[in-house]
Amino acid sequence: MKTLDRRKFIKLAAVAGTGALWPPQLQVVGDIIERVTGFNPTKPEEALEVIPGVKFGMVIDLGKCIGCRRCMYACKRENNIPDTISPPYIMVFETQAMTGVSGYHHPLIPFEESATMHYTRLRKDKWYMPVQCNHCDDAPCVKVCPTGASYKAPDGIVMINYSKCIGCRYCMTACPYQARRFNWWEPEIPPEDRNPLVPMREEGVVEKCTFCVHRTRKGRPTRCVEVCPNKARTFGNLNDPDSKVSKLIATERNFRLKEGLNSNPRIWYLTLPREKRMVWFKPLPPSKNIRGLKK
Amino acid sequence: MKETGRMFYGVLALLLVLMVWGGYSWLRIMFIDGVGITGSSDLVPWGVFIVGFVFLVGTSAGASLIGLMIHGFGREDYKPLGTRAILVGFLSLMGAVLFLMSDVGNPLRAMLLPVVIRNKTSMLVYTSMTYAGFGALMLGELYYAVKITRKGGVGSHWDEKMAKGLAIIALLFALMVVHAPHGALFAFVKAREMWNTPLLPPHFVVVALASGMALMILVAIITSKIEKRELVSKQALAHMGGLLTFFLIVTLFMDFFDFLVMNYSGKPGGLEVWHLMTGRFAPFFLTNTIGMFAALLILLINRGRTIMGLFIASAITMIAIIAYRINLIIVAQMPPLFPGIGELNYIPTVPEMAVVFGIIALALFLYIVLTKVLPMEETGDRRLPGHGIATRQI
Repeated sequence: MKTLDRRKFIKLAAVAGTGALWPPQLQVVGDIIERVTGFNPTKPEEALEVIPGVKFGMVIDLGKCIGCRRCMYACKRENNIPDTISPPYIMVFETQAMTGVSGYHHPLIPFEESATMHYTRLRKDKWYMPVQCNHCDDAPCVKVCPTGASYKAPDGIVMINYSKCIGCRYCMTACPYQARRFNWWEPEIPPEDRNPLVPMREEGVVEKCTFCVHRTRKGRPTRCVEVCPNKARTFGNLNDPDSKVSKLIATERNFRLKEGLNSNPRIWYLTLPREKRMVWFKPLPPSKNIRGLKK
Repeated sequence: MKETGRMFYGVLALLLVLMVWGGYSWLRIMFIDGVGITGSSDLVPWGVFIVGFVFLVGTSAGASLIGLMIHGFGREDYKPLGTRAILVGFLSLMGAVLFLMSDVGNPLRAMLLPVVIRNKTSMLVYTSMTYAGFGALMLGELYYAVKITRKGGVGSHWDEKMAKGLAIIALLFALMVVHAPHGALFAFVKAREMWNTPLLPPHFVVVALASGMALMILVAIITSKIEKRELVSKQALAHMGGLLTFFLIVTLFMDFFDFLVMNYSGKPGGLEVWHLMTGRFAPFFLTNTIGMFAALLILLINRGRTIMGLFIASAITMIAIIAYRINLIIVAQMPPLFPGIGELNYIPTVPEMAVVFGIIALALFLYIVLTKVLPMEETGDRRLPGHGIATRQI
């Protein structure tokens, strides 16, 4: 038998090491394991064809939002969200004068005096802000997901393949908008209350807003857009410069949540004042002639 | 097998009870009731399991350190601790992986994680691969250590070479591939101010070394106490204390500048975390800082003169580092990412704590049984006559 000198040993070890750690090789192993164990069955969402050339986005007009939370409840019913998931996909915040809504809570302001999502009645002297998954272009949750269960679909929706999720919740800590929810319990919804178009999730997987993929990929708006009584939400194709969303973003004053994090969220907020926006609120009285210049 | 007393079986029985309780709670969490019986929630997704995971990955560094001392620097007085260190490192890593497996919602799918690369940008894929690699390295080390001890302390040329090579590879692997990426796992999360700092990967390395060293000192002293003999010499213990002092100083240095930058720059998230750390969750922060300082003071004043001082300092270090991990994982998730979410809280539930105790009991149980079953290097001096350069050339 030939002897193995040190040089040969090092060479062999190097080849073996790179071979073992090279991701493509492991990818092949992974493919085989997936095929054998049925780890990655077809995603339920893949049955819905992506409309080519479309990129979805949403515009929420804060001047029109009255904080009725109808979007939240409609979303809950539409997407089969069990009661054990709290808060649901959409959170609506009532803001306060001295605290912002899109940043961090200031440590020196007590929680009772800061913005809240636990308000019990609607007030004209406050403004309201719905927050949900922003379907970021450079989504931190997609970046950290170990199995690739979270992915960015070609039409701009951040989707979750529930059959691949291992429930490590890394994405939940990575999301800057706290938009992801985990199935802590087996979700229980009576069959007559279920939406048959949306698959029921199993225990131990992460879920979140899908921009109502079962509707939007068939050309309908999301449920929250549909139910908004004041038409504060607009949904559409960002690739089309003539769509309502693109025009609103181009022409109105707007901002996105936590833009400094460079995650490129796909939800824009319009900030025109309420008196210009409200449909049924009385307009303010005309300003008084303080200088006495008018007759 | 060495002689065993009534105390030994008593401890084993207690550990078994804890293991059964933890195993039953694990089954409840995973299959019977649901992950919902843990204290985590949608807004505080990671709880005490991740604390245990991070802490135990850190303590596994002790094994590689002792290995480096023996094989890299040729310190013969560390040798009696060699096999025990590898065992402690391996069992720590095993406990850490068990913690991770208790945390995930789908443990069966998660077991494929080191093999199935589906997302090349996720740190969790690479860290789970490194745990597998580190575990394999330590098993190899253990195999050769046991083989050499079985042969009466003198292995063949190839065995000695392999033991030495594996020990040095394991250290490099631990520091560069296991602990630093383990810190990066958290440092990459830009949503949480306390994690998103480039200081975290080196900090993880230093804290891992400190906790590993403290654990090895405790193991050495407790083993000597129980077996009523000197496992390692006093000089070796003093040297270990010196290393621990160095790691503690670097940890405190890094902590100081981390918190200074956090406060001075006044980033809102950082301020919020600082406010929580020194307010609602002050006990953990105080345990961490005061503990570190106290351990450092004891080590500096004692300088390895008394074993009791070393023991107290190491125990305090372990407690301080557990408090640090709680601070890092749980308090960092406490600031709500929108002010409107309101005050968040996390209290671990009884089944959750049962699993924690169960996993620690399992590691302890395996350690106790394996140290009885496997031959530990206890001769102290393996340089028997005839073993040296002359024999190696044959």
